[in-house]
Amino acid sequence: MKTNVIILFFALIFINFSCKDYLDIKPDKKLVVLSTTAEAQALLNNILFNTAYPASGEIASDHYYVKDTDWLSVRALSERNAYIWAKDVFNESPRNDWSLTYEKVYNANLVIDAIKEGKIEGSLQDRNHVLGQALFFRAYSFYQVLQLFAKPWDSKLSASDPGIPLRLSSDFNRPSKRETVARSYQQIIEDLLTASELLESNTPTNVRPAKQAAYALLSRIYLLTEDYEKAVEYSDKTLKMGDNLMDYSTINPNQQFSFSQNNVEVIWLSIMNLPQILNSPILKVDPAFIRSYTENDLRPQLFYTLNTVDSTYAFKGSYFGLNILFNGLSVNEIYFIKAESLARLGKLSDARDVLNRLLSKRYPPDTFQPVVSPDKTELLARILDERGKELVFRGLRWTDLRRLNKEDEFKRVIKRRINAQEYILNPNDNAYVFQIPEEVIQLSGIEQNNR
Amino acid sequence: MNLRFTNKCIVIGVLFHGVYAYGQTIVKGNIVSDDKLPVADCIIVSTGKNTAISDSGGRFEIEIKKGNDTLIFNLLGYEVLKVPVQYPVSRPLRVELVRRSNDLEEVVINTGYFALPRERITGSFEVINRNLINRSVTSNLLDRLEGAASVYFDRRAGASGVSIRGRSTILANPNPLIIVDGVPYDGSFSSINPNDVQNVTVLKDAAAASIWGARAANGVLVVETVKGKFNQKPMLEFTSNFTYGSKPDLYYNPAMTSRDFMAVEKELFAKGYYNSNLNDVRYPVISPAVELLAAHRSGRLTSQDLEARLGALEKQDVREDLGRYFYRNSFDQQYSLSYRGGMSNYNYNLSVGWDENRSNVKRNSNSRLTLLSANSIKPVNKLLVEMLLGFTSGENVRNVTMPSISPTGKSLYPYARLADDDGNASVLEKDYRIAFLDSAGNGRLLDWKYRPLEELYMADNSSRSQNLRVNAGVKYDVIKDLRFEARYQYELQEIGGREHFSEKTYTARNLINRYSRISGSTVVRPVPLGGILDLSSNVLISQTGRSQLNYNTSWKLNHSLSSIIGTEIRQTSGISHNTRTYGYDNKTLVYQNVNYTDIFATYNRLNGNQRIINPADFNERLNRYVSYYTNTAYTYRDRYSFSMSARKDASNLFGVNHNKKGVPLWSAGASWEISKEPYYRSKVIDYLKTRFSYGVSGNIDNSLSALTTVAFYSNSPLSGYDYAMMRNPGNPDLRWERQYMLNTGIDFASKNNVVSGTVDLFLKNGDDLIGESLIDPTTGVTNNVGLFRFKGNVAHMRGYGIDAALNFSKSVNALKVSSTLIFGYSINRVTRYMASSNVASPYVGFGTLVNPIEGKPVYSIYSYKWAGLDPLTGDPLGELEGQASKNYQAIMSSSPNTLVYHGSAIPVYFGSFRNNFEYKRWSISANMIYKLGYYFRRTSINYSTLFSSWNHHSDYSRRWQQPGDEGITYVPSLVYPAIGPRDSFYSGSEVLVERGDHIRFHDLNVSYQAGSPAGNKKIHLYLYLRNIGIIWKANNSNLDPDFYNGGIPSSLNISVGLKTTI
Repeated sequence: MKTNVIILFFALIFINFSCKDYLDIKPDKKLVVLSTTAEAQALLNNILFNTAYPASGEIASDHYYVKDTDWLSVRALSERNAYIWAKDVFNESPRNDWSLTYEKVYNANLVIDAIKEGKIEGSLQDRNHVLGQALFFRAYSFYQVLQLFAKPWDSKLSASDPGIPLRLSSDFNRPSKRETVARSYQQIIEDLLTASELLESNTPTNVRPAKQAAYALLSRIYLLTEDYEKAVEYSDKTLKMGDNLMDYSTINPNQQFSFSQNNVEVIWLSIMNLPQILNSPILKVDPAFIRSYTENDLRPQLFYTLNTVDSTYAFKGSYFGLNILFNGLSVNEIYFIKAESLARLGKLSDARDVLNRLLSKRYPPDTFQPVVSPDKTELLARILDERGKELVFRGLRWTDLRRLNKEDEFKRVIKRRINAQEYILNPNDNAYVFQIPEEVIQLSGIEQNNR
Repeated sequence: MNLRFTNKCIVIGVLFHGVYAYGQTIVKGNIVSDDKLPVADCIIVSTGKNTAISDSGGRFEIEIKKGNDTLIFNLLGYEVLKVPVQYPVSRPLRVELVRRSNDLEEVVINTGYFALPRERITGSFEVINRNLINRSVTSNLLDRLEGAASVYFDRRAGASGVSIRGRSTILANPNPLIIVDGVPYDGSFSSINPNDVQNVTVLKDAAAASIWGARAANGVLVVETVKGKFNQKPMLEFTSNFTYGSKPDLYYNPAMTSRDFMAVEKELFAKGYYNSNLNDVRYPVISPAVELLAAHRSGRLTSQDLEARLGALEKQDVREDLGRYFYRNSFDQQYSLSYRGGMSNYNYNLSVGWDENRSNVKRNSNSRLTLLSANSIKPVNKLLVEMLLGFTSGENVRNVTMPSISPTGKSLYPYARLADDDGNASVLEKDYRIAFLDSAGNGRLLDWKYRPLEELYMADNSSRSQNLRVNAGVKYDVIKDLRFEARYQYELQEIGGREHFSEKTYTARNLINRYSRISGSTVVRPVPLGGILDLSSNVLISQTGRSQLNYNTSWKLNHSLSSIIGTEIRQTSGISHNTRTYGYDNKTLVYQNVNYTDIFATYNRLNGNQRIINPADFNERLNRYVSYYTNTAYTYRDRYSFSMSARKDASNLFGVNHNKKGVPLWSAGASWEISKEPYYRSKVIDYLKTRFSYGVSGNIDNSLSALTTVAFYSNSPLSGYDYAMMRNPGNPDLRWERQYMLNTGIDFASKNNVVSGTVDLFLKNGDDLIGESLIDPTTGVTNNVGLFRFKGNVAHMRGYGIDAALNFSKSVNALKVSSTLIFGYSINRVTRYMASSNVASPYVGFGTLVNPIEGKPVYSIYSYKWAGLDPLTGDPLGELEGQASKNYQAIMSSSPNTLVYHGSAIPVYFGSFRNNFEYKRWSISANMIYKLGYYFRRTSINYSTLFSSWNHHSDYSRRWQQPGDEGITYVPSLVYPAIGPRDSFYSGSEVLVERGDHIRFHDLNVSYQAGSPAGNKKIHLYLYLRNIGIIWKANNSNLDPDFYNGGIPSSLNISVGLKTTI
């Protein structure tokens, strides 16, 4: 008996020793270290990659105004300040256009690193699809940050203008450092070119980017970096994979919101965060802008709605289908990229064709008058004018203002009036580059933008 | 206490029964205590210096001189007994030892793994005995420890609860480890019936706690339930008490008057603040006053009518309605019956308890049934089998949670009505504007209005819990001095929640309407008519197995050794899930299917496009631990004791290399009982002992991982796919926190225990503490609440302090006076923080969150420097580079050195002072609790949240209104638009910091003992008052320093009860 008990005791000890596997079990079933393509895909299904993209550029853009009383009633100082181009934006909350966009970069890098380090199991094809999406999201995020925090593209200055930190690894111990604008765009293009090779031709939902999304974003980037031939090439590639346009004459103008998020033009769905100042009924569409649409143009009645109480116009034309503003990629934008690029390259007749193909879907068939303008400047002006009227509140206006300010024919002075004080944004003003959040400057030591 | 045992060395009975063994000088015998229990470990010495020690059955053998000899029986906690023996002895000796009445020395310290007499202990312990536990009347054991031990209770809203010797960790689990009947307890503390508790031992230093290894860094509370004893007469104990509590003081929190609140609304209305809401087609909530103003502006209401109706609103105060319709006096009942006793080879205890508590919020209550059965059997001499079975069944009815009675995302405006003059339920704003709900759907939708008073009576929300604890152990004396112990515990806790929203409830009506679509004359309802049933289940199963060898021996009188070595394996699994059923009919138990897949446009797109809400959620967690431990205590000459312990814990910490999963922890200690030295001659101090210990314990944050982990969820809102979110950024350097503690203490008692006490000094160093640091947001790394922060081993901490308990006890004739002063002094400083921020704002707060600065306590109060109010505008002024400044953004993001440091947010000194008076059958006991040397930040008006969320504060009436006011107030002027940073600066400024020091009259117990005091039948009647109130505080505001940011002080409870023993 005695010896038996002692044997039992040591047996119990050995049971503990021998079960190493006993401690290898996961403490929480929901927790996973990325190891399969399905898991990586799940991380990329996070709506983080489709939502809460920066809206500050849109706040600072034209085509709308807010009333004095409404401006005062906007809760966030950042929004009020962005509207009047004041310096202090993004300092109220740590979750702002800078940090939220870099959060997407970090999440994309988790997948990119895991694939590159060979930690993800799955077929080559699946791994490519996952990596392609992650590269696309990273490029899209970098693009968004560049539009707010770095100077616009300039063929001479971009090689030295400070760009943005290009965080290419999920290792958070690496310090942040601003690269040049040119290097930043180069990274975006490289990522997108790789992504366009890797991505699927078709995805089951427009929430997930396919090859076409990479082509579309490439054409957008080539346009704003003034590489018009590439812009045409990639808009062609985009349109080849689907060039359907909605016929606006078939859409009921009496709906609360005119479009659905699954409409045929959406290539890839993403939305901006929704600041109070851009939400109805505070946002009032500029009546002069609405008057600039021609008589038979179907867009005003699908895009804007009259508030009979104060006879102002609200926006109801988001391709997301709600008051939330769509800023993703869509076929109509690609038509404009192609038309503009062709025009700038002097291929006026091709440019006209592309423009007319689009515009023909924006008028009742019996009233459509094709554009016939023979002059390059005039045609370009018309394309840009139509672009402005088509791509409203899509997060594109800010980028357009920045790039077109370089051309005397197209540059604009924007004015706001709040409480009898006038605010003016001149072309190429320093206010076209936002201040990086003070907290980021403090914690990373990167260089602040001049103001 | 029993006064009849105050004389020394009473021989109750030494019986000589003839000659046992001729020709031998060996005497055999057995020792029992005065309650007829065998006494083990008693040291027996003959005049010839032969020694022996009694075994667990109280048996001993000793060699004696031929002729006359005297045996000395010596055991701690018993009077020393000298027994003359004459050789030859006719029969085995039967010796009865008398327990000393002295509480201090009677104590056997139980760590859960082993028990040692106090005299041999080197560490720092505190025992709360049954009398002290039963002095308070609450249904939760933990509440009964408040003021009874040097355990600090943090009662602030959002604070972490109890701590022993100050906080030892920064972000890892800060709670002490709870051991019940020798095994870590995973269930809810409220499942333990305090009437079943024999004692609670607080293990404070490393020598005491390190046997528990990981998580012992925060201290350990060892709870021992009542057991029967061998050879004990059957005893029946019945306890019953009733507690009455008053309604909470709803007027405690400083609130704006209805008049002031409406004045603000009028001002904002005039400035157009509400215009966008009034024009918003998503119809956000509009307050009644603003509706009236809008109706007046649009000509629908005359000026006279407006004034009349606003005037009527002004007279209302929602606190009256809340007090009348939602609160009541609380009433708690507690009954407990226990039966225990024992024979020579079997003992038992059976208890049953019933608690029924009626909350001071109407329709909220909870009840608890506890059953406890403990049995020990000695089937054969060397074997002891223990079997413990505990069962608790509880029901918690929670029909109302008070903050839910307010518009979504807002506070209740002060002039809200919950019932009209006739007591009929009034409509309150909830999610949408009432004017919209009047016409929404033209009568085709369900009624869409929210009436809190009706909801109160329709609510049906409760949870039931079951807790089963089976604890079985065997102890087998393998050979002399060597005992094998094995123990296994199975604990099952199941909590099932059920919330039923009938179709009549707002929750159901709102969801049905929200998804409804009216097409022509039909209403399409994706969320079907009928009720909604939410069920939740949470099952926790914990299993612990342990095997242990105990070696207890003594030799040559001078040496005694107790040693254990053991291994433990432990697994805790938690499985929980929530489900929802739509279209549920409570009468027939049928339900409807819904389409969770498609996205529906909500009614009028009020909430955009949504899928039907499906809160289904499943969780499975599993924690495993394997531990090896050993502990040895050696005592030389009864006065020099040494101890050491070591333990290695390994767990299934996720993604940590196997070798890092484990951590070795150890301790060593020594003690010296000076008063036992032959040369000790003090006439004043009868008992004097010093102790010293040093050791390491550990702590871990199970939510962290060395690898980057993601967590999975269902139904991504846009695509409907499963998705994952980053949960934890990988940290390959993740390590266990380690806590080094040095303790030195003295225990002393004067003659007759008039004055006695213990004083401990401790030093503790925490290394590799897990903390959170601000991280460059460009990295994109966020914590679990989406802030750009990173958790890791970032800090070192150093703490020191004093723990003391001083007792005074004196009898004058029939009056016995005794006092106990518990004193705790605890300071900690962050000595290294690798993650400090160079921005000031994260450090400014209420002191409930940890934002360490090197050289300052973990919980500290920091403020922005205050430079008064601008005499022209009433704007608050701070300081920027030595100048008064309104650049709030710059002030808040300047260096942390610019902050004003007030002091600790946790009392540096705390404790209690308890006085007892006993006179014949009466006794009175009063307990004061004091907390000193700390600061708190009070709330004030915040215009940003006043405008947007109706968070109001009475400081509004003291605001700056005209030049000159800056001399009499520091409350900034109202500005429109509100400037967030201006409000944040003021909220974080030094003018709102108050001293927290206060003394509270915690409780009072008056009791009367009926029946014969000498006999076994006792009846105890008592009156108990708790939360009597603050008797002194250092701050001049009307705030209770424990309840300053939203909480309401606990109301006075009055209990009457009786306890009978038969």
